[in-house]
Amino acid sequence: MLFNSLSFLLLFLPLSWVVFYALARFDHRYAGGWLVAVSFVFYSWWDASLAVLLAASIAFNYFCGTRLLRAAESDRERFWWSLIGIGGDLLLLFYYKYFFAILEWLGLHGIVLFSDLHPVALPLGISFFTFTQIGYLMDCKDGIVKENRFLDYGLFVTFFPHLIAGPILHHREMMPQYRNPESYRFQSRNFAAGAALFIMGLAKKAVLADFFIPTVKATFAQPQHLALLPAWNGVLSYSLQLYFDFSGYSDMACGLALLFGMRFPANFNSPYRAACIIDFWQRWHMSLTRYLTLLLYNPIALWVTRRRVAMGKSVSRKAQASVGGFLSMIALPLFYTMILAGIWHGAGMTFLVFGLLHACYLTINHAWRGFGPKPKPGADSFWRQRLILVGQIALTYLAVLVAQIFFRAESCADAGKLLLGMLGTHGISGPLQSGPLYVHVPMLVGLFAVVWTMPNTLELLEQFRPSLSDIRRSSLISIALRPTVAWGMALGALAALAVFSVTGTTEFLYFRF
Amino acid sequence: MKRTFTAALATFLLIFAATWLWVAKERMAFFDISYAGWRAKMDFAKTLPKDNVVILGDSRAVAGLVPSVLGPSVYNLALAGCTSIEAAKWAHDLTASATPPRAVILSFTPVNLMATKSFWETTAKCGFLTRQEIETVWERARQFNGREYWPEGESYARRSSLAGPKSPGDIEIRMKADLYAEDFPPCYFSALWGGRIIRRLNINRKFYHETYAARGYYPFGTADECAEAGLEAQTPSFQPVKLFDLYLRESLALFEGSNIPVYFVSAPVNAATTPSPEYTAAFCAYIARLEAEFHNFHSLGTPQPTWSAQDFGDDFNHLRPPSAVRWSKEVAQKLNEEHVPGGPFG
Repeated sequence: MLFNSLSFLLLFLPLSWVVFYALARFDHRYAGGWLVAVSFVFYSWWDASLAVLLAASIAFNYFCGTRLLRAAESDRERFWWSLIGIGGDLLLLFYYKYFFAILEWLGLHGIVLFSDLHPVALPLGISFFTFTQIGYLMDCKDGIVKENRFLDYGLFVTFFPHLIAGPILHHREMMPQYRNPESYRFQSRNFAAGAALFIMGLAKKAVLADFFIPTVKATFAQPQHLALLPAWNGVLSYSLQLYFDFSGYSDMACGLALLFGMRFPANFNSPYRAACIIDFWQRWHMSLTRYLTLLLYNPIALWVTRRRVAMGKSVSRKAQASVGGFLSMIALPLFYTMILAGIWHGAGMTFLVFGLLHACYLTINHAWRGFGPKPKPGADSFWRQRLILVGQIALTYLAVLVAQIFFRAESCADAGKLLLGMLGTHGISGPLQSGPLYVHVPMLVGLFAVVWTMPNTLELLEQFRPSLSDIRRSSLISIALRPTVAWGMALGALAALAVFSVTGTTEFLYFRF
Repeated sequence: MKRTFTAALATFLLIFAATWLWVAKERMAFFDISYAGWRAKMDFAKTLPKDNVVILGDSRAVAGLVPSVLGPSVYNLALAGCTSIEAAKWAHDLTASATPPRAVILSFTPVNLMATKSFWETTAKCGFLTRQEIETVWERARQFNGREYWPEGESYARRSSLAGPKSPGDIEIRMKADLYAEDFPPCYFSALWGGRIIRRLNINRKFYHETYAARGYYPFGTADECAEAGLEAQTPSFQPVKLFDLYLRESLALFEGSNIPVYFVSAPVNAATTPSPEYTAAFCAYIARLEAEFHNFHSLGTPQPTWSAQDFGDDFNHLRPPSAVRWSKEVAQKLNEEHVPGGPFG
């Protein structure tokens, strides 16, 4: 089911919300059970067989987690149960995401012959709920998880606001909330913040992100001969579509969780305002960055460090500042992590290039920090500092934009042609792939102004503490949502606009991952 | 906090209610022009004079058969983007009216009996079929097990829009049909946005009056010529989908029950669109079977005659106005030769 569909807005959400708080008055466990049940309905809305897959995955991981907890004293047993659990999860993911793509590739190159290949459809959200559970098993193995109740675990995995496209949750931040009866008590502040976040997210998705769909489709369908202006128009439109689509989804997920009394970690914090690529990844898909850091980057960095120690090499900061130390302790874990992050998005060369590009960016960024000139505090005037910051933001955004072209293009060749078009190799101007110029250009300019200067939704609602994370404020203009009549009217109008525009329902871009 | 909630709710309800009222009362202000055409036909169909002759069919009949050329008692009730389902609705209404037609001129593009991409949202938006009638279409579609009436490769959403709800997920479609019936504003948002709420009012009113005055005729396409191949060129043979066949038969049976003869005429196409011999033979055989089954049903002329590219105004083989006059004259002549009731024609 989609958050921006009529069945969700008019049937599913009101019904599940009312019954949730009615049941919570008797016992919070009933309410928790109800949430699990409706989450299954939410997940299997289009295909009932998906519920079986989800239930089997939960049962399997819960069983492995229980065995890991029981084997607290035996390293050997813990190793084997974690291998079975995580291996099983990865196999499932591999089967649905990569198996058929690899077979197809092998067939295409004549390595394997097929008479009839029928790829299976990728179950919605499989990456997200599998990653959530792998994280849980790792923590069971490391002794971080102390107890696991089936209902809490079921709710942790299935809770519908995060089930299909994240944020990727950590059990440590969610289990205490699920266990706390206070979370199940209606609180008007949570309701206000949740409803406001949801409305703003819905408007971002239905009104802003979807506005760019025709332009983006036209641009990436035929990128071969686009002149400079249409190419930039298409690519900037995609960049904004992705921004408002994903931030809209993240707002809706956080808002929905709040409506049910739970808080999610923040997932999106004005990433286009990042002044370097390291900063970008701390603002874009934040829960994925945290997950990749904890479960991929840190283990490999630790492995490299131990290996260096075993070889008698230094692992100090000074060693990191040498070329060899930098390459092995910084660049290697980065490339490993970002390549996996790239192909996590899909089995295709474009995603691999996307990962590689970001690995290169991050490596350069770290190298600049380590080997580049160090700014002296107070050496630059206020305006010079501002100018440098604008330059940093622009450079970071340009780098992100280039990677986004590979992220969206059908093939690397298409991405290359589009990049050439942006450089003007096919001429300067040509017909725009969008509606009237007087609508499209002001829309692009206006939205970039919003993205770069205005507070984001989490900043607007800061006083309501809408997420578990502390948000770094970075907007030029400071506005905060206050419980006033004017804000109420503005939200009411926005809600009407958002609800009006839901019938042309389109899927969120991140659903396919 | 309470005041904020109240202000938000009041604003939301106010905007929503005002828009709802606007959608229900002033659809002409924002809808695209085809709605004005549909509306005009639905309105004059309520006051058809005695001894009238009506034209039923799709957009090629709308743009090709000119009532002012055919005769003073002829009315064009063909609808752009419609199927035999809408024709059956006309058949029910016309046979039940106080002034039933003396004869019916039927003109469907054969390929439109094979697949559709426009049912049912257009008809629901225009308020032509009621919610109950749409439900009946779905029920009948389900009897054919769903695989008989959509082209291969058609998207799930399209398929289920015709077949109706088949799984819990399809509640969305059922809900949408319910909401259309209630003029629910979100269902009309794209039209509201496209028509800037009120911008189309004058042009739609003008078009409504022109269509009303022309007794249902209006042209499509403004090109000087069109040599593009239509859908028929890519269709190897003719096989009607069972649901459309069912509704076509239902229409013919209704007219037969009321002693109203039906004359089938086939609109011309350009050379690139001329269908294959297999396709034409299969279509002729289909028409012949209907003629044998329904004594009131007669076919006039050759199916889909080939005309020059200069006769067509767009890629869909819609005749340009001068060519529409020419075809109407030809049809009038054939009707006179057959001594069709309601004549003389032309």
